[in-house]
Amino acid sequence: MSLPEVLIVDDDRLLRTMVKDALSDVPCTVREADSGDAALTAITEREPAVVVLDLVMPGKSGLEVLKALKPKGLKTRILVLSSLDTEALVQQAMADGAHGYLAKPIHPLDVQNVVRAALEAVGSPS
Amino acid sequence: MSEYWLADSEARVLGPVSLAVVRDLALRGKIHDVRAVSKDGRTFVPVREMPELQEVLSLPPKQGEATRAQAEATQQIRDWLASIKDRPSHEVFRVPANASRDAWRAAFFALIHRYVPSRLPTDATPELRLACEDAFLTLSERMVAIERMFRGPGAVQPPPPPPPSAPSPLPAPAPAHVTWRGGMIHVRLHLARGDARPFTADPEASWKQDSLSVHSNEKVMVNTPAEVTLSFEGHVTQLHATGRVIGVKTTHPLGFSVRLLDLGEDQRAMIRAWVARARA
Repeated sequence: MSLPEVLIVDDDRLLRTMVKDALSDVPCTVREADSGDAALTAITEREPAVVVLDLVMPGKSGLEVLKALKPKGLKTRILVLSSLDTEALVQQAMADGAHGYLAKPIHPLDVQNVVRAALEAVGSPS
Repeated sequence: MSEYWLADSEARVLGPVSLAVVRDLALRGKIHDVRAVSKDGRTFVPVREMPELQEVLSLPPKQGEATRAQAEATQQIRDWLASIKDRPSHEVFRVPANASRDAWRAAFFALIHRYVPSRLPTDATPELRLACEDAFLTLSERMVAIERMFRGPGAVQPPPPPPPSAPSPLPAPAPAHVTWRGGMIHVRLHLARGDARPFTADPEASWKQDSLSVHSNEKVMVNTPAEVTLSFEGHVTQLHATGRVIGVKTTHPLGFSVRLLDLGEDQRAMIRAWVARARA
């Protein structure tokens, strides 16, 4: 059985690397996208089990990615990762289709835990 | 209800968000550097062309809220520092005790990311800044010990917790190593753990004035250009700066003081944290 896939979407390469490293103990494969547009292309190509999504990016923002994915009714679990953690914005992101919200800065173990939980929720072994 | 897109100087976009969300973010001091705005996510205009947004974006962060949030963050860091004081490093770094060097390093960089002083907002309180600097130094010291462990002959045991912080009397300050290069002196000074005396002994030439006093028998004159290299026990990073001699001590112990002229904020933060730790 193939491993579930996690797509990390962030324009900050350091952050992507950090999340990728944090997932090194989680049985999954990882893809990366550095913009909202790249994320939508990647998701269209192959539906990942989990997306870790930044909100502020060049081109399409994370909120636009959420809005674009919502009508598709994907099984993908989307975890927003952002330093903009005000209640109103968290509520909006959740209403737009996010399944979880991680406030930066984050500890790798926290990333690992929420991704594991998301993988379990989507029905993939972890 | 209108929705807006906000773009920063690096063309990174947030949106669509309502005016209420923008207000909330502004009041909490969460958004800075908004350079252009849009109502459709495609055509961006300068902020001044949307007065309703300009007004909201110019709102000062709620003082009480910002201060309280920073006080809470400071307390969290202090509590965390107290809680890890006697804990072994693998628990602090949240890695297995026999983790590889790469795993230690990854955990270190992930943790240190939170406390880099230069990442703090410009209006960070001095208490929060100091707490971050303390956390930064504490983690750095632990990492130095870990790196040393891996360099040691076959040593693979996890590092012991740092030595208890009970103050021990400091030895007399060692003379600085001073050499001449043309008309300039090069001062090399190694500071033992807990010794901030070069930055504090002379109130006229202390860290507050970007200065330090140097114990040396070398004869120098006021205004002599100086190149200074400081190393700190337990740290891999050295501090290099240029300066000028601003005072010469003619009574024993002999020495002189130097004002550092090109210190960056990170270097100042490093010195401040060193002084604060020596006083703690």
